[in-house]
Amino acid sequence: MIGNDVVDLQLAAWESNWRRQGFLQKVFTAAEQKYITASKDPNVMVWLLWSMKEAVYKAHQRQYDLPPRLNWRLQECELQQYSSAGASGKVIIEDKEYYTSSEITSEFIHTSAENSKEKRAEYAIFEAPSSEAKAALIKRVSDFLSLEPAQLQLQKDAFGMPFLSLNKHSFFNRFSLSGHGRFSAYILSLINCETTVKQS
Amino acid sequence: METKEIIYCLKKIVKPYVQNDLAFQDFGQSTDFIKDLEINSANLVDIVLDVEDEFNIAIDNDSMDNMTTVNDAVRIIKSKQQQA
Repeated sequence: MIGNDVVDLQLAAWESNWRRQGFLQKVFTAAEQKYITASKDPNVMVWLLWSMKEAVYKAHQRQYDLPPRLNWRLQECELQQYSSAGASGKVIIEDKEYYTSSEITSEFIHTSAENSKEKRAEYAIFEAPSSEAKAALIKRVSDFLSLEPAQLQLQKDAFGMPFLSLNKHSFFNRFSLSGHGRFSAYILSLINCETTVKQS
Repeated sequence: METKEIIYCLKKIVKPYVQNDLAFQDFGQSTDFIKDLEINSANLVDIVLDVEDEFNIAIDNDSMDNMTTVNDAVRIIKSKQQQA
């Protein structure tokens, strides 16, 4: 399964003070705290690791149908590549492995997470409210399946996870949406999607 | 501490982080921090830390995991206060 997370760095600086007493210890493992203290840009490192955890938990939630939880320490992030423009990593949660790719700019960090090493999902980021990412996601899926966008409805399940329905039947959930501050983003995987539609 | 009193304190703690003011008007035991109040996930960390400070307790990772509603928070605060 897949998940994503976007952090608006300007809003994050305004609404969260990760330097407050206890914050890092609540969220990050000892190994992750080392990444932060060793980093030239600890602020970017904090939000990079944060977005990896959030994106991975969304993928994990989808995969195993789990409720939202406050469990950042359950996830262990390992950075495999890191530059000022992006990062890739591996995250383990409850013995399951996920792989992440992050895009880093001076304004935002976006992370895509998948449970396979071959990162095949596509993503798009918008400097616009989440309604724009939602509309773009619906358009992309409907174009791919030769449907009209109006035939697809975006809904949420009991745990707040979004899915698309067609003729009142849930039929597509291999996607994730995220919004923060000025930015919104989607990630989706259309692989084997046609078969799902034929079956429904 | 009485449940009512805990809820009153929680309401004060949560207020600065609320994104959905309409849902905040109905703040009560069943209020969900994420679904109802739409609190940003990074601010959930702040709420856990604020609760620890306010009630003078330590919330371990297992307890924090389930702290998504006011009811959960009340239950956790009460059990930690009994341990203290």
